[in-house]
Amino acid sequence: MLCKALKYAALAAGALCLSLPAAQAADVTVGFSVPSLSTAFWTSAAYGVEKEAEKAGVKLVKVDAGNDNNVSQQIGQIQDLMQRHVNVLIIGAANDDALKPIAERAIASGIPVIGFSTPPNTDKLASYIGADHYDMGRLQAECMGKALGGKGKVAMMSFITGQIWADLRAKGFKETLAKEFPDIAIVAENRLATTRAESITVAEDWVQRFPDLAGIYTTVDDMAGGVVPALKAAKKSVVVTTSNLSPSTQKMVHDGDLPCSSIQKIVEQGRNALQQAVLAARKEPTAKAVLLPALMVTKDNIDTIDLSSVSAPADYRP
Amino acid sequence: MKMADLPGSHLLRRLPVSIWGLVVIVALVALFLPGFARIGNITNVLRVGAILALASYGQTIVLISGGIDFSIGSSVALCSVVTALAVQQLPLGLALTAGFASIIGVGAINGLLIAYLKLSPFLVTLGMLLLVHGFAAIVAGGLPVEVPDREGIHTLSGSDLLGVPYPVIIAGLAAGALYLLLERTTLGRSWFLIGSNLAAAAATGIRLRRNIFLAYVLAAVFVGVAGLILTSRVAAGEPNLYPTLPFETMAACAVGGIPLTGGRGSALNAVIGVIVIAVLNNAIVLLNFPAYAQLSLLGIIMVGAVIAQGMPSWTRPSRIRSL
Amino acid sequence: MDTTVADSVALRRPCAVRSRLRFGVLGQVRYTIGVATALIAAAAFAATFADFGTFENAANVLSLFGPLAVLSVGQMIVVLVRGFDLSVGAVFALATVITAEAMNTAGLVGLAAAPLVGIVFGLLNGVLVSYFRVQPVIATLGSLLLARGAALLAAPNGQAVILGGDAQMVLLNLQLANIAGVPVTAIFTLIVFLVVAFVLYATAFGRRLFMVGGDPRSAALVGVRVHAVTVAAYTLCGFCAGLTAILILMRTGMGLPTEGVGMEVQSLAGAVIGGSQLSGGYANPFGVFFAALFIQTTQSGLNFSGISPYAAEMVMGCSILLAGLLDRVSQRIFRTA
Repeated sequence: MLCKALKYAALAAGALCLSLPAAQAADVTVGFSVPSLSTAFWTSAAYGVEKEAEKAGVKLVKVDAGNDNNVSQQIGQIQDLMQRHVNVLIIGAANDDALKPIAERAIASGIPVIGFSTPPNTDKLASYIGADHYDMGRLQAECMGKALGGKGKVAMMSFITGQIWADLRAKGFKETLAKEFPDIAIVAENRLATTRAESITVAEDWVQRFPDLAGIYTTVDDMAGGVVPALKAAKKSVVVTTSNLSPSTQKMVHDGDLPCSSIQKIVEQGRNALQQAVLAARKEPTAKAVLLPALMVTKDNIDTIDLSSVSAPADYRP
Repeated sequence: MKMADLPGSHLLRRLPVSIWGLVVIVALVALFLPGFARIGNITNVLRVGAILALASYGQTIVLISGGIDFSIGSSVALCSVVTALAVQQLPLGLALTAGFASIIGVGAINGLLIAYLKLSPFLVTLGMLLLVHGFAAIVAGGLPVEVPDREGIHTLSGSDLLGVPYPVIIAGLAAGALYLLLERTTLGRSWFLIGSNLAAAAATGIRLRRNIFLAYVLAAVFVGVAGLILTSRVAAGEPNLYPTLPFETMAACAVGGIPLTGGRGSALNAVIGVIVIAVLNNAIVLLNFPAYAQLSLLGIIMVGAVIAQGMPSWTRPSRIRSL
Repeated sequence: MDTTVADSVALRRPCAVRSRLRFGVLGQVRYTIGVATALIAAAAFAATFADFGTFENAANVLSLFGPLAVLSVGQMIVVLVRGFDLSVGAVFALATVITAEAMNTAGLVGLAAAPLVGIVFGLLNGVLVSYFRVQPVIATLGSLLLARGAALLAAPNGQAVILGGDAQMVLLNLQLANIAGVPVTAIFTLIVFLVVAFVLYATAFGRRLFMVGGDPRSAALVGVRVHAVTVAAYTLCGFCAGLTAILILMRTGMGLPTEGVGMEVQSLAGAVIGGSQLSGGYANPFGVFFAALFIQTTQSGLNFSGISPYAAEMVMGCSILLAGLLDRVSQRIFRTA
């Protein structure tokens, strides 16, 4: 009798010990605030964060400001998250300077903040998970320069103004071209098109305006997804470079329609962000910065890249 | 001999005033912009304009009947998502039909809520804009749903018949259909009355609710065709396919001379307005100005064109126009 | 433009305007829809989330709904005279940029730039609509594009303009401050609404606004200068957009040239849910106040819930539809116009 009771007691104690860390983690609520979940970039980031949150057993509250521009909306959402008493915040800022005051207020009220990709511009962050957007632009320039043999006319679709990540990519592209391929001229820059449909129209108009256009730079792969078929239909051979690697872009690189794409391991960054967030929530030491370098993906190395760390699967719904 | 005595002048008088704005703008652009007057560019402009035209036909019907539709951007996005998902299981033709049906569905819901529940068209279509967009996003997931090229998806938007792109032919035929609908059917004529004087329309015994419901459903038919062409062009299911479409159609209708207060309008007005907007958009890209100048210029020219339309009435004694 | 089938009942009776004024706020049951929806939303979310139904959170929501509320009340004035203003989002973005630059040069005095920018664009809209007979949609769409272009031009490289040091701290602290638990921004908003209500109900100008909105032709016959009143209405709306810019500056501490996309539609929704009709002639600031509160409560509640943002959007759409439905139901029950 006693042996049985002892056995059960031991089992119960063991079970309690095992479940205790999980119970602890389940008390952690992580708030994740991004500008817009309508883009492949943030969707893949959310995928990484969510998968890791499931693994760690923490509760995840996602909010999205609806638009890369909605700075005041994002600030309001973070206020709501603070009101909800989340234990830690992961913030990808629509505008790094504008988000600084609210981030510091959160930190002051005891909620640590992890910066993701475009962090709020404060040095009080618990951690920063980074991508080098400037580098992504630089890699596109190198790819473009090589593909064009060092000379020709190039046009840029740089996304709308005021988005720091897009501006950094464009800057990296322009400066690298100027430095390393001075014979390549940038003849046009469009800062209005964002959707695939708009990019198709701009590309078609450019083909008319600049019959000898040799290359087009696109900020995100959704634009390239429209531009490449449009150019094919117009029977123009123009080199297109892009960033990010959603499934359709993977196919284009495979088939040789795109010479390259500069990417970051977004999903892995998402996972890192959540890991750091849980550490911060538990008041454990965090890494000051986790930087993953930008990579250039071409036909040659695409098979060696672990795509699951780069892009969310096609059937993921944030 | 006065202008009014010339043969055929009675036809001239029946043309909307906006056509002169169109002529002036096209002439200016053709003369001063390099690259505009080439066949390739004009074909592009017309091809893109055809999509806007079809959507504007739908907006025209809704406007004439005294309503407004903000949800067409989301419903074409839904069409692309449904088509892209359906094509994974069904042949392309059936998939496109499914996409088309989804737009009709949205139009029917709009019509039900506005005609039978008598809710405000503004609120209904605004609510549907959000609902349908959210639904399309949930169904599609976070990434665009690609339609593989081998399905022949580009045929509808990309092919020509004797040099004229299919979308342009379709838009032309649809304009004719819209004209017949508005001018030659009782249903169409009833919309004019409903839009200008609802109380009078009710008094004449028109089946108000049925006709208003049909306005939204038939508008959805035109928007559906636009959605199919757009899906074919983009070859992907995207929840954010064309968010500014409702505003562009409203601008096109207004520039073409259709008042947003309802009761007046025609297919020709819509066509003129669309061509003006499409030409302006193309001209802006060709001019290659920096972004801020592009936006400002578009605004100034658009307003200028409309002001110019109103100029003939400045010589008449000032009347207070219903805004 | 936005005539509902229910309008077939709402014939313009000659005494309609007078009765609206005489019974003022309380006589108009339709305007209580805003209050009802705000209360229902608040109750629903408070029941679901423990942290939602606290005074602290009430203060949170109150501190957030200001910009939408002020934009909506400006929109309400224009809708009253049978128009609408699509440029409000772009105008307040431009105002934040110009004000930030003005404050960086001249200190706190630069705040005056915000309402000035709003007034300029309001005047432009009003003149285009009334004297040039341009449809409101085109006139305001044109000024939207103009304002966006101007904002990109005024901001260096199209980037946001950071407010310099002290001025920024003053504004940001104001955003956080409260008087007896009520956030300063909410009090600011309330003052704006009280002023608008005073103008509408207690001044001759307000009466003229109702007359022009109700029937411009009759108003002209009676001697009201319809064009001047219309211009004034649009100018007031622009002024409200300028005030919104101040609120946004308090929240973000920066001039943002690309902010405000979609706010024109949201503010129209706020006005319409608050009882205005796009065909003109109806306005009640308190309905709009609570409609904006309802929208913000729903948004904050959805943020609390952590549901998929796509689902949150669907819920937002449904709640707008429900607000419209509630409006209809209350009309049927109380049989008011």
